Amino acid sequence: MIAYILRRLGQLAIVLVVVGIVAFLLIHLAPGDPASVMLGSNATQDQIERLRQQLALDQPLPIQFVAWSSRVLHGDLGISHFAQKPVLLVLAQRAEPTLILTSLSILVAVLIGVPAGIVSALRRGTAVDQAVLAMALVGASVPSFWLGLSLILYFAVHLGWFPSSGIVPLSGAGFEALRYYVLPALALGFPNSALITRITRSSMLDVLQQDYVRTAASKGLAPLTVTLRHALRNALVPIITVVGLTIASLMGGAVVTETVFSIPGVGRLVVQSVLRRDYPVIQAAILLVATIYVVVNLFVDLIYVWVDPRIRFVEEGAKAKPS
Amino acid sequence: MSTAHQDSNTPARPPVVEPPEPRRPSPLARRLRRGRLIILGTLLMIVPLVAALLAPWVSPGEPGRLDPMRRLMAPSGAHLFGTDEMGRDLLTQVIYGGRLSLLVGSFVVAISAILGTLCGLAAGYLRTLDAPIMRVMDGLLALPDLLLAIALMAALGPNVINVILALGVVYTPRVARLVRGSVLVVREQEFVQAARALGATAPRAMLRHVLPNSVSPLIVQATFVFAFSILSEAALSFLGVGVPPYIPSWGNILAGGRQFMMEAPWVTVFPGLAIVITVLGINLLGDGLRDILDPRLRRLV
Amino acid sequence: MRNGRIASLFLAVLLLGFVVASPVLAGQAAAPAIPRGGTLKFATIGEPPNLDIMAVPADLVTMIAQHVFEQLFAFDAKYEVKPMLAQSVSVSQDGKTYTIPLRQGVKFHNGQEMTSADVLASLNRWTKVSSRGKIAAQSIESIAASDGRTVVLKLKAPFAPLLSFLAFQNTAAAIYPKAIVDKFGEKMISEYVGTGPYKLEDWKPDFRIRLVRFPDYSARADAASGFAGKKVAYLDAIEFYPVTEVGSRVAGVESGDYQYAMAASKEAYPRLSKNPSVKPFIISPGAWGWLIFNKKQGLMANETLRQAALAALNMEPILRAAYGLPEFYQMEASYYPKGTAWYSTAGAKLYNQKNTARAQELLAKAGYKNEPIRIVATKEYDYMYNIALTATEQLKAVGFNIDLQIYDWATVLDRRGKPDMYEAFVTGHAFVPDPSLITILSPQYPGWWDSPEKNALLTKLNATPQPAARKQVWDQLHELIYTQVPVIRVGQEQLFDVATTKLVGMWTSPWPNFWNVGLSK
Repeated sequence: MIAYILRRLGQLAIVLVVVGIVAFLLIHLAPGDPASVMLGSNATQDQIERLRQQLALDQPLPIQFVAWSSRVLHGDLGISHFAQKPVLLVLAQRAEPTLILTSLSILVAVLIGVPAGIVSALRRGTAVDQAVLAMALVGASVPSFWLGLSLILYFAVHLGWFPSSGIVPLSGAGFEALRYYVLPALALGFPNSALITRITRSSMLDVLQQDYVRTAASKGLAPLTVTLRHALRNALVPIITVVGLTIASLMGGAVVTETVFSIPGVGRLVVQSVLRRDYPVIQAAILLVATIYVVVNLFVDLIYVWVDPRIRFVEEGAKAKPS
Repeated sequence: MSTAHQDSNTPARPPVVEPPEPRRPSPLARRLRRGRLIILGTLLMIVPLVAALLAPWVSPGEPGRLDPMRRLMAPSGAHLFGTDEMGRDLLTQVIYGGRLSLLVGSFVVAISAILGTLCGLAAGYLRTLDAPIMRVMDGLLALPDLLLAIALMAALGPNVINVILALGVVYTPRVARLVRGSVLVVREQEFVQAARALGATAPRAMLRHVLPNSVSPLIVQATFVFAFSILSEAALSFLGVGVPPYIPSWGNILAGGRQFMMEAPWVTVFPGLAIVITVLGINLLGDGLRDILDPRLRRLV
Repeated sequence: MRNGRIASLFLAVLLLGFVVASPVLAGQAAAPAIPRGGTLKFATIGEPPNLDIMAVPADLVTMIAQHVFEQLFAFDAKYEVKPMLAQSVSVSQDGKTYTIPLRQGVKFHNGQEMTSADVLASLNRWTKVSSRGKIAAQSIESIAASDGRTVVLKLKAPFAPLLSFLAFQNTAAAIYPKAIVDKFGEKMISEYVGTGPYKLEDWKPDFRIRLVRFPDYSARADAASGFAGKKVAYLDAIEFYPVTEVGSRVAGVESGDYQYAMAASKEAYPRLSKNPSVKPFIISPGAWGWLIFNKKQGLMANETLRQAALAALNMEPILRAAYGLPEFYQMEASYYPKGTAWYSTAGAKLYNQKNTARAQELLAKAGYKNEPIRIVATKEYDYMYNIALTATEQLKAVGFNIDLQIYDWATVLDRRGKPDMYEAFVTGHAFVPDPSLITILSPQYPGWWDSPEKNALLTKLNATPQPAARKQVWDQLHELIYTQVPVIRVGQEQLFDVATTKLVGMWTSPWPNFWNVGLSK
């Protein structure tokens, strides 16, 4: 187990290095001198010169990259040229809404996807099954921003059940603040539930065919107990996997949802930073999101190794094979 | 990640998400269902496809022709979909938007297929390149598609070619993994066969076996990449970082019509529906294709 | 009997007096009492970079910071200059010396009392960092404090609009504490201490700016009018929320999340007028959008080409595209609306010519060989983009080869300062109470209108104190704007804000202010 974790950590580190390279290269991809691109349109010639020296832009790229990486590892993510404040501060101020939105959206996606998938598997071939599959298919085809706009139009403006935009901070408002997240979480969570529905369904179907399940059923256990206790636990593995992948999709989709609902989170900041060409913020956001994603996936893998120890053995066994 | 010996209890973690196919009672019923999906998908797609290809002949007006005095008019005989906020005929805009989506989708598929195949072949065939290439692919996959696309667009600047390039880069890793998987499977077989035949296996033979092996999953993957790129381009344009605003694109039309949703809902409804129908059609097509081509192939990826 | 008659006469007079006086008394009693308390939530179009009202020309900064800072003078409802922090002003015969005694006992938000040292420091900074201040500085010889309670401005030559410049709230001559001016110098301030009825409580970036009542505010005694007079902070707090999506702003007022939203979508007007809980405000005089030509360098430095562009344009579709509904625009050639003192018909026949033949004639006369003409605009402000797009199509139809370049606003601001980067750019201009405040009259403003005729007229406009004579000079300038075509103004726009019907006492202007305003329950 320890060896497995260490190996995964090693992979994680390499992946982050790659992400770091992508983030670093962004500035050099952009047309124009990197320093003036970073400082933005209002920079004076002195400021540009000073930054060029500070960043050692005359050095070969690998050396620059090492310098930049060490700065990043020390927590220096640069200065946002729009806000004239450290990027870390700017991101931290906007972290809360994005965290809440992503968490709630994942909850929505799982709470829609898993039960739908189970029901669909249990009722395979019936109208219910077809309906669930159709819902999943349509859900995967709907752009989340269009869904968001439609939800605002109907539930916020027409019915007035929910606020149409913005958020209030949790501290102070408590649960009342969650009202602001309902529509955005639905807009983001529903399209992402489609895949979870389908994976849950097929995983359940796989497991339901298994002998041990049929054995349990023949022992006279009630179908629901059979489902929940035996089938679901064994079907969990692919579901957990997909949930991990969905988190990535959600973090990307949060960008659009935050824009549609005017939520002052990291996603909307990224869009604004792109429009303002505030590269330090874009770079930092990329690093942040990628880090969260690989860490979350590491946990997902650890969870399913814990849930199904056979996987670990298969992996380790595979290592022992010649090819 | 690509072990060929698996049973259904420990499926390989699908890096590109395709659900394992549930087993059906009879092969006949299965065939019937497969056919239905493909037909349905194709039917849905035919309309946008044909309209997009025949755009200059099918659309009632020229794209981008302004007539502000007739802005935001409801659908009528003269304007089947109504007009947008600059008085442009919405039907024309939606048709040309479809053309753009088709264009972007096709090129993105082409680029990601070519790049991905090259990377996958290199990674699978050349052991020394395997780890570095796949780590790069993992790195790219560690970022949500849209975020990576947005970041690339930030660097490259908003125009159609950059959208295609950015999305092409975003979807390359999936293809690369798929191809690499095929290569590794074939390698196993070739290795064994070569050992038996006591001869060396030429790279050409590899290619002769690898490519046919991966064509099927590649086609399925391609349809999903097509669907994703339509959704992604719409999102990018909607956010203002995709295609420039005066080029008709479904995302642009939605962005423009957004503030008039209450007064002129048709400006958001029609392009939105166009996206849903087209993407739905492609997804159905992809599902149907996957059903036809041996589902067990997917275990490779 | 005589006593009785006198008594009844007296009674009659008394009664008559009552009858006459009672409507007045009743009127005063019936004036709606403005309720005290509550927080007003204002949905704005975005987040200001900071609140340095002296240095930043963004309207958003003015809208928010005007509650926090005050100036020596202020405009009343008729846009006439009245004293605010100044007690009064006396101008010498030759118009070159302005003696301004200051009000006493005015408190800053930090508790300190305002003295002439603060005013001196602020005015000096204003002449250096404010675009209007820099223009005024060209005429100012010295600013000095004759004692702790009086400031004296000496001019090199009479500058008639000086008081308007001092009263204007955009890039305002606001009074900051000397300590703050010393601390920040010419860099943007990030500590906001003013004398206004509201003070900054906190600012959560990209979320909310919160102002609260300043309990020790020193109010004037004279009646409130426009931005002048007595200011009472009825509302406990004012909160500004950046809501970039116009649909969300309006929806937020309809649902009660916000009590005021600026820049509502004009198309929503018919629907909102029918909503009993929403009050739409059509604000006039509003603003205008215009195409500004690069006259320093490049193709459009050629006056004939500019005249050709003016001849070609058909203003109504441009206005319709930019402002949506006919209620919100006028095809008005005059820079000032009818009924105001500065209304002018000079040059009006050159407005909205929509004359393709004439345009092509002028193109030929200018020797135009289809070279590309770069027009720079942004999509961040819808009206600017729509003006640019519509005008581009019309100009192309006439034979111009237009290269329309769309960038983010920051890039447009950057490019418009570089003469090699464009031939024209699109922007907007707010209503200004005095014509000398119009940006393009200054030869340094991007576009660089530097013709000798204009400079002569501008000098005359600023040197002439009498309003009637100034008006005549303005007429000549107005004509020149249409004959030399430094810019093409598309027409007059009315602004559109929406508020809850619970808002009491509101006076609308391009910079809505919330003192003397309350919210009913």
